[in-house]
Amino acid sequence: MNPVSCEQVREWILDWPRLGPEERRQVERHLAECDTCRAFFEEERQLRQEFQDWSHTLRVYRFRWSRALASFGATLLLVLGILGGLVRTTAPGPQVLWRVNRVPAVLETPGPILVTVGATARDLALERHGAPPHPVQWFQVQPSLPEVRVVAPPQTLEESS
Amino acid sequence: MNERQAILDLQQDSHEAFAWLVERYQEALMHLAYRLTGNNDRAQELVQETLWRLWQHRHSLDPRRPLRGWLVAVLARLNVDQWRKQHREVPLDPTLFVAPARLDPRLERLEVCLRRLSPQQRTVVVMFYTEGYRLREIARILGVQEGTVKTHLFRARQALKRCLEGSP
Repeated sequence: MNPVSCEQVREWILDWPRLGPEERRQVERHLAECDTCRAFFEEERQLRQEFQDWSHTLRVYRFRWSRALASFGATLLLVLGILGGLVRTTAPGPQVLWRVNRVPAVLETPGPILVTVGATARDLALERHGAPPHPVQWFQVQPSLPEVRVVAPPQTLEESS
Repeated sequence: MNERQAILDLQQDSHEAFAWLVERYQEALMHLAYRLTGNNDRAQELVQETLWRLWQHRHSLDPRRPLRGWLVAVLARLNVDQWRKQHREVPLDPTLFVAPARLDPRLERLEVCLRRLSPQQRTVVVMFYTEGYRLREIARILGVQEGTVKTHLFRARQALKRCLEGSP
């Protein structure tokens, strides 16, 4: 006779990492007798593993001109090396993606606008809007860092222009 | 600077504190936003909006509580809410983006299957399996009943199972 219901066991399985030893023992006893819950347990284990693997492979990247130029330079060197009969191998780096900064967001509601943009977007914004339609809080990319990374204290567009 | 001090300074309208908090959390938020949406543009938008809410609501923050929980809750709710308000997308500067560090057909398939879930289901699944939130915590964050979250989770699991088994 198994005192724990399948519903309770499945709830415990979902909460497996936080279960105490006694609850785990009850789950294990139940699984030894219940094929359906054992299948559920196995599915859950696989799903957790898939999500863990997936989550660990994702990386946050930032575009860096230095990296792009380095990639371009490396490609050029490789081509020259091949042409010259000299094959160079380069360590693979993370992929980078470059898209031109777009005009900063203009919200429908009046009020300050938050943007995290670089000089390109700033120029585009001024070119497009001239005088901004709302007060704009301007978060510039910190120039001291080699990559687009930190937003700095805001100024208004009027001040920055 | 520590987080508590940064929040206190933020409540005094300190831009430096805001920048410090953005620097501290933007990468983790981008990571989560991508997992919730599977889309870099949308993830950018969610992170921007979340940070904007941080600025807007700075005076109601409790410096004694970890900010991460507040930010995750805002981002998760925005993900669900904004899907209801379709086509209010705001173009943002996409200098940050998320991508897999290595190609793996099995995990690519998982991403494909995740995209087929509803935003609510995906939010619940990601928060449960990758963020480690309990069902009742997700319910509190999303402002729904725990039973609703459980239903989303079970339906999402079934859909994922069908989808993953159907993979070549």
